Amino acid sequence: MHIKKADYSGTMSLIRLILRRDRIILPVLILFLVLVFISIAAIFVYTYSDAVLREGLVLQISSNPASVAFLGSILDSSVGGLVAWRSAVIGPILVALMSIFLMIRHTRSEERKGRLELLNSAAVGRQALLTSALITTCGANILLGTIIVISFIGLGLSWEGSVATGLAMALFGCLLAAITGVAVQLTESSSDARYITITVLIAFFLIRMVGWDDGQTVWLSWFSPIGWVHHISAFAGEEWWIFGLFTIFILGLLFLAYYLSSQRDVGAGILPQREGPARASSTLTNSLGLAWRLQRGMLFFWIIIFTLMGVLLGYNAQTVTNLFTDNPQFMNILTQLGGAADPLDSYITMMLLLLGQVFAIYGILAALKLRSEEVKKHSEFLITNSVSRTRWVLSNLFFALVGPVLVLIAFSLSYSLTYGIISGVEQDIIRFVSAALVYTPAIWVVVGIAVALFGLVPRLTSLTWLVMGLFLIINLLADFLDVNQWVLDISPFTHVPNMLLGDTVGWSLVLVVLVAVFLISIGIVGYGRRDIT
Amino acid sequence: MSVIDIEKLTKYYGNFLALNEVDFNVKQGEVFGFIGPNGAGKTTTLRILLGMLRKDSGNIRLLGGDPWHDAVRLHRRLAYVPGEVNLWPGLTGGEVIDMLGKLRGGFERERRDKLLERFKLDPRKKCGAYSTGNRQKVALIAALVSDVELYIFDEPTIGLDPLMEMVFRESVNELKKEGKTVLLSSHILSEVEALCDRICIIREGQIIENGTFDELRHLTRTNITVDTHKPITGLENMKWVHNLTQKGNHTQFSVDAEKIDSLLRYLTQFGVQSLISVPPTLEDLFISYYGLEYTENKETPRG
Repeated sequence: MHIKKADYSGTMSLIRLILRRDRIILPVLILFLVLVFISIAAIFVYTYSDAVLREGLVLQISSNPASVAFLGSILDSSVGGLVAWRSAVIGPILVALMSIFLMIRHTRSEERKGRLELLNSAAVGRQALLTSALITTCGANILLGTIIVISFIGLGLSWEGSVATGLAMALFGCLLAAITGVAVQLTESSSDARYITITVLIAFFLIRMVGWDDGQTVWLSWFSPIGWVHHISAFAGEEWWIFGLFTIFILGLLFLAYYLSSQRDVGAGILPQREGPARASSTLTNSLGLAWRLQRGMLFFWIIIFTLMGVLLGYNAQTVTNLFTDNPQFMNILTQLGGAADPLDSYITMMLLLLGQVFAIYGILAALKLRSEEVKKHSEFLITNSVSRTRWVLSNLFFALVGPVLVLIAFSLSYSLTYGIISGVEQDIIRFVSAALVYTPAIWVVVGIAVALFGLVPRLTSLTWLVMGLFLIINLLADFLDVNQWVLDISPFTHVPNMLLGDTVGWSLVLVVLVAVFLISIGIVGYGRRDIT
Repeated sequence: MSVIDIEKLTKYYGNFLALNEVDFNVKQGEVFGFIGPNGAGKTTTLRILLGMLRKDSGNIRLLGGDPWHDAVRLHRRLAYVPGEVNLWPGLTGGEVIDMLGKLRGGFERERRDKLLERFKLDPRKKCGAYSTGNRQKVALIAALVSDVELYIFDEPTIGLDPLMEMVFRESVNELKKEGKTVLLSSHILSEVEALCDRICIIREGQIIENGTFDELRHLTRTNITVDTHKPITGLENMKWVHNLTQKGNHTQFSVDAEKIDSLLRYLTQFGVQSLISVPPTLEDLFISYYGLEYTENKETPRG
């Protein structure tokens, strides 16, 4: 690969174009992420200034393997140590999502819309698009990192730890930008590129989870950059050399991305396109058949991933139970919290609360297909054919509503079966599955928000993510702050009964169902009455 | 009998007046050309006609029904090809053709095979891998394969090579023979001229002309080339003679259509040896309506 200056001409004007196009969304994204970090830091700075309180929290968290699995172990009981611990997983994931979104938006989506061909002909070098997307995405990450450093120091945290945290987030974002830069060279469609990068991110998370620090598989976490962020040990004797590891991988991936980009044709991917059937199968004769065709890939993907996760958790559950029962401190807390609940049940309840919200993300993804099908002008072919608007919405919505249910069932079934086999204890599978299924109404509310926005204010459909982010934050805050009950009540996930801990299905759950039905209905009515744009 | 009846159709996008009291009708069995530059309101009109947009005022009837309220029922009786064809990248061309055809109530297999061969389309390729022209072909075949009363094409030959353009014309002529009605929106003038019985011209949301070509030609200038025994004099003073060039006995100019009779009477005194009269092309028509504005727009790519 030799570098020609001409390949990069026009990069600056492309950067200006990106900044102009994203003049609203980019500041909003960065601001949102900054708020997440500041709110995490502020919680610990202001409400956990008391060392005794912190020790209690550390003890409570460290004795709960579920927390350790998801969030990593606490390396230091100082305020900074807690901040670093709490942001070590959620931070990289959010930063990664921003990088993936920006990179795909400004490389593959751009190319698919044919704009690139236009741009290329107008004296823009062939590497300019990739370069401009990388510079803006990494720039956004570095800016975010800098703001984190400044605000952490401003909150009174030590400068070493603040710099380590900010730098870790910035470099993790740049790493994902580089990974996405490679992925967009491999595939022809932006959705395939998104699948590849999201899969990589989920793999990073799962690998780090399996290699949690209290387990014997800690070496595994070195295979995941999310693990690296943890091992940097911000506020706990920083391991600065790990930043070198990040830099080496980023540079290597960038080299690969540019190499692949120089090897391929504009618009083409490296992975070959397969031929398909010349005739439509008998399922592909109506809008439901088409929706199945368009959505099944994502459905299978989620079912497989979370079946595997169920197996993984079921496999570990025995060890976890032992850890629980060996720890009188934690047993004490449990008894205070939920009476005589089985420790394993508490563990799974925590998992479900987290996963319920993760499955809502699947619901959103499936529901947002409505908007993307409209924007891509695919839906026109159906609604100017014999498919009514309502029918078209329902066909797609079917997967947004039923899909998460199937994922819930797959997860709870694989978990309880695996645990049953490993422990040799007969399991009440129905009990586990129904404890998972009560998350359905809350997920439907989130789907309903997407549908209502789609029907009434289609341009703002993606605000659903912001609402979901709000629900996540409410949940995050609820763990640490005395939040007013009405604030908690905003999130539909607050109303899900913890059935394994003895809650029963009550009226509030019925109310959640009604809210979901209402939101979906106004969305469908709104769509039926508005212009197709 | 009218297949499409549009009266005083008005549509705003926010404050922008996209359609201003548009009037025209399409009769059964005719090929109707709907022409105008980009952004004139062609696609907006078609989208209202297909029930995708709501009108703000005016009357619009499609196949005897209301395009907004009776959308689904009416759509079974028509086939539409949008101007910008985006297909599902994961589906093959063959699958798209079959699915859309079946949704419209099924089709004959031979008709499909014939069209695939005619348009030289490989139905096994994924839509994501097709070029713009090939995606256009998929949409055209998916429409042509159905046996319906009305076919609506929005700038159908953009992206097609000249050979495929001819294939498209052939197909439209066949539809006409079968007695089908065709509404063809276009800014490719030769295409409209070759296919359409009647046209209407839209500009900035207003219909500015409506009728058959012959009717429209009367409104414009005819190009005349004439050789005479002695040089013609006095033409330069006539207000209805334009673009005059003279080389001795050889004279070229254009003349307002309604003045041809006066012109011929005047010319005979110079001893006419030969006279060629060329009717205006649609290009001329367009330029006479849009002037420079049109010729400038023509150069810019579609966006």
